[in-house]
Amino acid sequence: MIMRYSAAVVALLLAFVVFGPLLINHDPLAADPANQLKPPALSHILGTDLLGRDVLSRYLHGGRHTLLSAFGATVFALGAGTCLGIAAGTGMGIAVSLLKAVLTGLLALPGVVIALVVLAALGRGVIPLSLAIGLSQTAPTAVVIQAAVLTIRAQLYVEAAYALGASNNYILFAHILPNILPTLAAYGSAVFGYALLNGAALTFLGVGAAPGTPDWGVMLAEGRAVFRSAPWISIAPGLTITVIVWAVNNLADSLNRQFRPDSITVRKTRTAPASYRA
Amino acid sequence: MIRVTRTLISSAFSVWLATTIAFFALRILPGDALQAQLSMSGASQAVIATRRAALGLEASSLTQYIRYLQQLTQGDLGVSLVSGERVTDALLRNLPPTITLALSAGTTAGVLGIVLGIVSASGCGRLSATTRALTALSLSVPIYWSGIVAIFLFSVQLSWLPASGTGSVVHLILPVSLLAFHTAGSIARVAQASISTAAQADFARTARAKGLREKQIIAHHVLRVGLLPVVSTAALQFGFLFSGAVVTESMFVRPGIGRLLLDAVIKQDYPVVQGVVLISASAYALVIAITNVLNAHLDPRISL
Amino acid sequence: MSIQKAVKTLLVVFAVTALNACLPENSAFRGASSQNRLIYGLTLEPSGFDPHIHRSSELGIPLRQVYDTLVYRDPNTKAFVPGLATEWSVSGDGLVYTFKLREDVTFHDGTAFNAQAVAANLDRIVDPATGSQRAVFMLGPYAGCEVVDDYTIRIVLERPYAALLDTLSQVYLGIASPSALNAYSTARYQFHQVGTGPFTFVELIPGQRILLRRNNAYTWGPPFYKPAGDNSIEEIEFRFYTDPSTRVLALESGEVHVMGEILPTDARLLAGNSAIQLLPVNVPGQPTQFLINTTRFPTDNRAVRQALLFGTNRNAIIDAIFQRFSPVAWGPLAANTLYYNPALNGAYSYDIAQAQALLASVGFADSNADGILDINGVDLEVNVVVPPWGLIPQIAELLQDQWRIIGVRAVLTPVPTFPALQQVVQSGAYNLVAFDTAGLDPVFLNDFFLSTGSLNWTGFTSQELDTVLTQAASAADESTRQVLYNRAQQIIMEEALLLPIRDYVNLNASRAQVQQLAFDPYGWFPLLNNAVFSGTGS
Repeated sequence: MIMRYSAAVVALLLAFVVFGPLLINHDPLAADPANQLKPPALSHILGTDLLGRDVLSRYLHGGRHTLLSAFGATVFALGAGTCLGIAAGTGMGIAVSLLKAVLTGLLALPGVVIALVVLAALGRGVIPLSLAIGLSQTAPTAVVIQAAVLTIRAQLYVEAAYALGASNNYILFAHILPNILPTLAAYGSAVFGYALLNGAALTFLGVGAAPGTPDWGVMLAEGRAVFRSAPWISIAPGLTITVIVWAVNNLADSLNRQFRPDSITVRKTRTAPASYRA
Repeated sequence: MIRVTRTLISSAFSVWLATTIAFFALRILPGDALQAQLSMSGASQAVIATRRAALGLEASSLTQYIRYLQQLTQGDLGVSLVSGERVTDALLRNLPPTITLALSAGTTAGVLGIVLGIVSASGCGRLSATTRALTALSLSVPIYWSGIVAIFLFSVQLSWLPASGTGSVVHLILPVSLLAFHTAGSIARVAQASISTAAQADFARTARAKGLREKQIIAHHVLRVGLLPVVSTAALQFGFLFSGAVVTESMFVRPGIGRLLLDAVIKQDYPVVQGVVLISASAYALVIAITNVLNAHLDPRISL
Repeated sequence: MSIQKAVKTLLVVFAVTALNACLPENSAFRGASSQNRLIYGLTLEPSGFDPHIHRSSELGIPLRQVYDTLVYRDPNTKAFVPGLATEWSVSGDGLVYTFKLREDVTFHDGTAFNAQAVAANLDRIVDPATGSQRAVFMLGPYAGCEVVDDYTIRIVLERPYAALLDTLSQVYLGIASPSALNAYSTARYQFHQVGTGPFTFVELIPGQRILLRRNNAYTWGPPFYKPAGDNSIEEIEFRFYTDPSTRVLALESGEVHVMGEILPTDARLLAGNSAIQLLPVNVPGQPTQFLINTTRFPTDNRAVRQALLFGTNRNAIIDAIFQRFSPVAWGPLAANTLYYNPALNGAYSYDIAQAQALLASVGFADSNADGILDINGVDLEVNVVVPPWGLIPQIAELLQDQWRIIGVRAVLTPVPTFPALQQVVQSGAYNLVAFDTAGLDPVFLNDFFLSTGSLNWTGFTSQELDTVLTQAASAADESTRQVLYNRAQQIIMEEALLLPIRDYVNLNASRAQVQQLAFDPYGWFPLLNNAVFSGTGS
């Protein structure tokens, strides 16, 4: 039920964000300085910002840019990070040591430096932003995956599979990959959250979205500057980000349970694993 | 012995790699701090070129890199392009406050995260749901936003805690709590996932079959295995702690390495950025090495 | 290792860290009397605090109290008044300035002030090894100095330079103790500064604080400095608040007594708070402005530039973004800068019809009905370089919106740092760029508007303008300079070389107990000698 609930929330939000702009008749870019910083009212359901623009329409338009960047960054980080993590966890000898050392080296680079350099080289836009954030999250993902892989490889059933003569490839696809999915899902949702927040931070520094683009990160930054006069500007994007991350986390939880049909929570071990909570 | 040597070599390699990547990556960015400061004063291009040449900035990147390595072996980290201060001095001054902040926040986050993760995985109905919600909040609210709310609430409205500065434990409470709360979420998530996984492993099932009490199983067996990925994640959180330190240090007006780095990156003060990268790379390498040792210690099935 | 052991280890680490935090940090001035200690909030963290070397105006705020200069400017009349020099004269050809110095001055370290000390300071500033980033350029065509006797010094120039006295009145040319300068290396001196001013330099912890203490032996200030009394400030502690959102919070909670650069929207909130008083200070120099590139389409056409100016509703910008705390700017100088040309007031007032007429007159029309004018199939698009400081991004967004009405599309290029801004400018791919400097004497215009100026980002060259600016920089007579600068400003605005938005106003605020807080004519620097706490300080 939780899963259906959170999936519904995510779907609703996505629909709202994708189709919502069609319902609103305010131009998100139209400034009306005389009406600045007005609290929520019938004419402007979420109020107006410093330049008198309608907050609701900026919020609806903003979702696309923000979510796309965060999604791209997550895909990149998970993809590259998983490959590196598996390689580091399953390899042997010098190559693995080298890889581990390279990973540690990449980890040591502060994300700020990586992101700024990538964005300076590639300019603004959804793809450069995804790349920049994704790159800075790759090494951490790789290390987490590597730890998970090591734990799985140490399990009895993997040893048994080896003993039965299974090839490395088989073990990789039949045992390792399915078993790191829970960790992947859990960490992936965290990465999505970081990507969402880091995108806003980079916009703050002036390298993310162009000023004036409707974007949740931009709105959070603007809202923070006028927090005392107009707290409502930050609320919509902030709350949405919170809800999305929460919903994604719950989905991940439920997926976790789906992949382990005999999964029962620690406390309920005494009862027979009849019906699992869905 | 071989293990230790291998770890040392691996760490040294990582540090070298990070510093080298930073060195060349920075030079992709156009311009530098010295040029900026001088142009703003209206200096002509000729003067700027002379000044830069005097500091060796006009040579090719490779030449500069070799010179940098040579200076490193003599313990000379260079001089800031903006203030003229020795990078070593700047680092020594800013390191202790950040270490204080990071260690306090890190340990608090570790403890908090693990506790949250255990409770979330235990399935105790409402309590578990609450901790899950807290975890989600920790991961989703931007730190620079919650910081403002916290300052407003605790400093302006309630006057319980100081909003800025250093000097006593009281000044640490707000920044450390903020940073710890936001770092704990990731740890809690991974802890929850891996503890649930470990709770169904074969050895746990065997223990239950043998009739051990659930609490004992958790404490003595499950946690030890379930906390492995957590140890790695917790170590990784030093990265998040570092970037969180930047925000916390500027919001609460505390000196530190994070602020030093951000300032230097914005101003393109290369020697300072390289110095900070060197320090943080060494710190990470140390943390990862300790983590590996801990891992091997905690789980005899894993070998270094 | 069992879980219990691990937990115990963690707790031990935690306890150790907590203890570390408890240890008294660097210097224990918490014990010192908090009575009559003023806490002042700085907003920028300059990487260096040596007035001879570094260029930030932020360093001038504390150091104005530590150093005296040869001359001062009276904060009300802006006239030059004696400081460390009692009288001065200029030779007929304007190349030699002779200063007679005070004989009763001692540095904070007890050494005597004399002409040799002044010479040592000047030598240090021009020495290439010092690496001065501002002071040496302010000295202009400085050729050298001569010590005539213990209390007379001559400064020699290569050519006449009208702004010399102006330079000598600024903190960047403050006179430091030669013994201190010699005792420390160039990089270390900033931590042990010794001057002659009303406050002594106690300590500097970069990123954390600066501490000054009153100099009780101070009797040689400029005429407008009052002697210290019971309620005068004894100590000043400067702290850093680089995050704008935290500034007003610190002021409201009473943590600081004075804060600079408050956000306009926060300042509006403070209007109702009786415990806090707002002290807006107009800063002379260039207004917040956009320089326009005359070498790139479409702003290579004067009519287009003028249309952009007519199509900008500056009042709306000032209302919305600056909450009416700033006056409208009409030209290349702020209204309180010396030699401002008041005839420019009202130039290019908001007039949509005029803007549209101008654009139509050079052939722009909306041939494809997309709301944007075009000519020969090319859209009327301007590229605006937007740095992140000074609320410029918000201004640019409003401009974008306002110019859509006249059919111009503005593309905003945000740049995160000054070096990045410079790169875009050097590549030439811009039509407008936001940049300005501060100063009282308009000699800074030469950098921007001389054909050979190092900051000539408009790309405009004109013999007349070159002549006028060069003459104005060296003319000795004030009325001559006024005439010349009037003409320069007129040319600049006739050619529409820049889009002025508003005069910069520094929104300072202080707790109500702080009285008699004045700022010097340069706008940035407070004169804390006279400030007092009324009633009991808190």
